[in-house]
Amino acid sequence: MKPFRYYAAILIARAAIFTLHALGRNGSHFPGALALHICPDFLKYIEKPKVIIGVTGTNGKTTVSNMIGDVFKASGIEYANNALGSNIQEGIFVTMLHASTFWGKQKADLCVLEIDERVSPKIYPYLQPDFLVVTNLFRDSYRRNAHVGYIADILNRTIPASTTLILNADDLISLGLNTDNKHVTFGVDRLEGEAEIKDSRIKDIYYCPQCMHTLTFDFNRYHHIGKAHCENCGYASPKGDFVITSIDARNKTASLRVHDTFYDLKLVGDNITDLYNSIAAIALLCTYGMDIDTVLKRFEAISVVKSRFDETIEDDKKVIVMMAKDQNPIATSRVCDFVSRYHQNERIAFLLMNEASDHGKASENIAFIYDTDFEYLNRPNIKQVLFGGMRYLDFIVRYKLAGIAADRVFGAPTEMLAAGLVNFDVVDTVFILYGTKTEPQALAVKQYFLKAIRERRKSV
Amino acid sequence: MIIEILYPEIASLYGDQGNLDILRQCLLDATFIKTTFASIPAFVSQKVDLILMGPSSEEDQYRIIDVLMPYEKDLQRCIQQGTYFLLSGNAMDAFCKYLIDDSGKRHEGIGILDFYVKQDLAHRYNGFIVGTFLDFEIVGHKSQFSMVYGDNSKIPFLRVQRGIGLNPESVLDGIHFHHFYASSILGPILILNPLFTKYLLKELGAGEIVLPYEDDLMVAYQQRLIEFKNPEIQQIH
Repeated sequence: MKPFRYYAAILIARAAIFTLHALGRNGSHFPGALALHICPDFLKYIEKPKVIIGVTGTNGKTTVSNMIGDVFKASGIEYANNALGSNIQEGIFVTMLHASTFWGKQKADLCVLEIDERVSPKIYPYLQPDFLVVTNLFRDSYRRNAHVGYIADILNRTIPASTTLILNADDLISLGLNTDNKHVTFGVDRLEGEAEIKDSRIKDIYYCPQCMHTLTFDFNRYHHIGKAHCENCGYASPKGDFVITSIDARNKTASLRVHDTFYDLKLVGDNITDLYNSIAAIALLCTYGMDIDTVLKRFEAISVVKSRFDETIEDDKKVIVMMAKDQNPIATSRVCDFVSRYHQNERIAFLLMNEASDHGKASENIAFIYDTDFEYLNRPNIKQVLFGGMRYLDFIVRYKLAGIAADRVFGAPTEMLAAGLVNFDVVDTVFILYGTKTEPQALAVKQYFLKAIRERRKSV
Repeated sequence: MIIEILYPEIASLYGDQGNLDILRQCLLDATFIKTTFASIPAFVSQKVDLILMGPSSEEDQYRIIDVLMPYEKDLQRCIQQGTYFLLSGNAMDAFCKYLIDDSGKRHEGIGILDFYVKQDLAHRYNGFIVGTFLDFEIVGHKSQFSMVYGDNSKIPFLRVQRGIGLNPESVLDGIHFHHFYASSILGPILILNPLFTKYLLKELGAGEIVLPYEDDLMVAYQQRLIEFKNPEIQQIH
């Protein structure tokens, strides 16, 4: 017998969703929060889809979830997801509501949920994924996530024993999760000509998880990602079940090994992160039961969501909008690395605007910027390094301490003021790097740049 | 000058490397020793001028206690003989008498500080602090699962103006005696506090040093002071 509060929560949440829709808004947080206030254990009572796929981990959750959804969509498979909602309990609540009949009877057979790793204790006791992708585990928001061991411990305690895990073979932290669960692994072999990055400011695993002896990295891609072994106990990174073994950048294809059979894969995106996201999605889809040939065929139509990498060419200038998650030293470091390797013949401006939403109400902790590899931006073709946001004074100090010449460092208290400091006389390509809360500002700055470029042409 | 950083591979979780960055750029002739688990600390066999240690995970804290415990007398000798210590985040927890973990289990600490620690993994304290040290102010952020308990009224590091001290009931933050400085302020405390950094460097015998990008550091420091004293800027817990 389900309690009255469960039905009350359904009714009130549906009313809130209807009202928001009538107002032209799509938000899932408010209806979810309202309903959870009425029935905190709502997830316990609602009927779940037959198959639940979860995607969690520090970085790449959204992209991997979108890729999985794109393949299902292209294959004509109906599914529910929280792509338009939040990845915490409120968004998952509303997704479950959408996946059920008015009074909570099961409607959808399949569901793909992006699940924030921090909220696992509030989700997994009631909603057990059949399959769970863990993209990777890194240091994230210091305020919220503490340290990576804390998050790994939460996942270890809460992931159901029945869940099949899809784990990153190149990440010894996530690989150590719930070792008794059935699991498959994905990875990316060292690519031809790929340099090792051993100078990352942070590495979240240094000692063998089995015996605490110092790990030896056979190949260190960045941070703690790569292949390692322990000379004391023999523990080693696995070979991987689904692995990208090589890429052909010119033809935008990759070679994919599934166990011992090789396939061709169309590349999605330009950087190593896209490779990891692709192979994680492929590993999940095949483990779920899709035929590999079908998956690869569907992948040919996939592209990275525009909001995560958006390039516009205007005259002889280029404006690129990319995400660099706020309070996340790894995501921001990866972006710095990507920009530092970007076309060396182009003169670049790097405009970071990934401030968290605290401004005006709280004072953001800037500790993460001292764990971020801004040193990578110290290159001759990166002509301007800028920050827009309330904490610009801190970023100016950090950029300079990273060795970037003082005359290339700029900052301003708002995103738009910082944009005004970009000098297109010395810059060909400008990167706009936004955080989880500053996408609107990034899009406004993009329009400002495109207008400035057009006006510059007229004046020339 | 010799500066030893204890266990940076696990005990610099929250931007604490920034402290090393600025010290390296200030003290060009200094020797920086990074001591890992596998090595015997430098302070055991040679004179070290400054020992730095940052925050670590709860699990690693116990490992740090295990590896440092055999050197408790050496640490005491260093403190008595004038070695400077700067412990940030939960680094000072290991130096306390004991720690009570989340399950209520007691773990012995190194025992140099007559304090004890209580961990609560279900509640992470987040907030900022502004406090007074000598005749200037120190700012910083705290994010922690543990609180330190004991009487620091005779040996406080800071008199808190806003934020919490050793624990939520305390208005005195951290510990300072001889040349031993410890606070649960985390991250790049030396970058956020140029006045303290200059003071510490002078005390260390480096003289009146102009910090790299000192003007920028001072402007950022002054801005943060204004924010932290502004009642509209709220603590987020």
